[in-house]
Amino acid sequence: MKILLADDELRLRKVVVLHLKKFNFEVIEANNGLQAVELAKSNKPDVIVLDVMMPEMDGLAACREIRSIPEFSDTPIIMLTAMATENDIQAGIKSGASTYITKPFSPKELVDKIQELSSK
Amino acid sequence: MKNDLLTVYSYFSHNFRTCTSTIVATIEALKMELIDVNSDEMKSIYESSFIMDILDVCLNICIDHILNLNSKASDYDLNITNLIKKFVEEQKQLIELSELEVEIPEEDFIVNKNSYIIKNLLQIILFEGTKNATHKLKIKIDGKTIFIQLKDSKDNPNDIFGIFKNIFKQNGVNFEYNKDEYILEF
Repeated sequence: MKILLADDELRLRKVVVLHLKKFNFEVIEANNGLQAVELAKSNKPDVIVLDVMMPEMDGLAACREIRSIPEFSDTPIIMLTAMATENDIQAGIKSGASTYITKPFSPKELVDKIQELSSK
Repeated sequence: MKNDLLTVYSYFSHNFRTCTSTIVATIEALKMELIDVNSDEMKSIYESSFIMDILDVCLNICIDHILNLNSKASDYDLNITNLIKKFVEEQKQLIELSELEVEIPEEDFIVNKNSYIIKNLLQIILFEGTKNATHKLKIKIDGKTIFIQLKDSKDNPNDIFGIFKNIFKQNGVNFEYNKDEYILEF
């Protein structure tokens, strides 16, 4: 299964990639929202994980952009973010995200969520 | 005041949560034997803890400033030259750059007023510089001015920088910033 992981925090991204690879996911990395949109188009991931606060294009805008592409209308998109208020969560869901995980999170929580969403 | 408090909440909450996530995910990786204690990734724990320490102090400085509480300013000799060298050394892994240039004169640059506040806010500014520059970061001391130059920078957190600017000003330092450069004049 192919996962697109977009997060501009390099240290966190590197260690999350280790966890995802342990579960045999193929991981494509992006460090901003714009790159995430481009890599989604070119790599056709099965699940997309987006941080909210990213440079160039934030995760909410990237989510809306990806969702507007017909082939990604049903692709699970997980917002993985340090923005944790009720309003932030609502904004994430409104942008088209399938679910929302707030930082700090356990990598297992992310893996479980990916498996749950991809099996639907 | 309310807007400033919300800015402080948003900035510090985001950074604390991100640092905590990095520590949790790294320790989980260690537990699952994806890495060992000698792996490069282990440095993330130390670096994130170091940043959380600075964030903790700066959060306190910001709250004191916004609520007009007594400042914890203390005067002692702060060696800016050594502070910058130490910061760059300790945050190497964070610096996702093709080039880092540090141009610091041999003689020590000493500040001795409001050192506690200046030390911690300067480290936060350096932290943002290392995070935001994507291709090159140049840190230069020229006389009593520090230049932090960023090539192909990401977005600055301008709202919190506005609060830092006011605190610096109250403590005798002029802080100017734009997408490509942060300047601190002492």
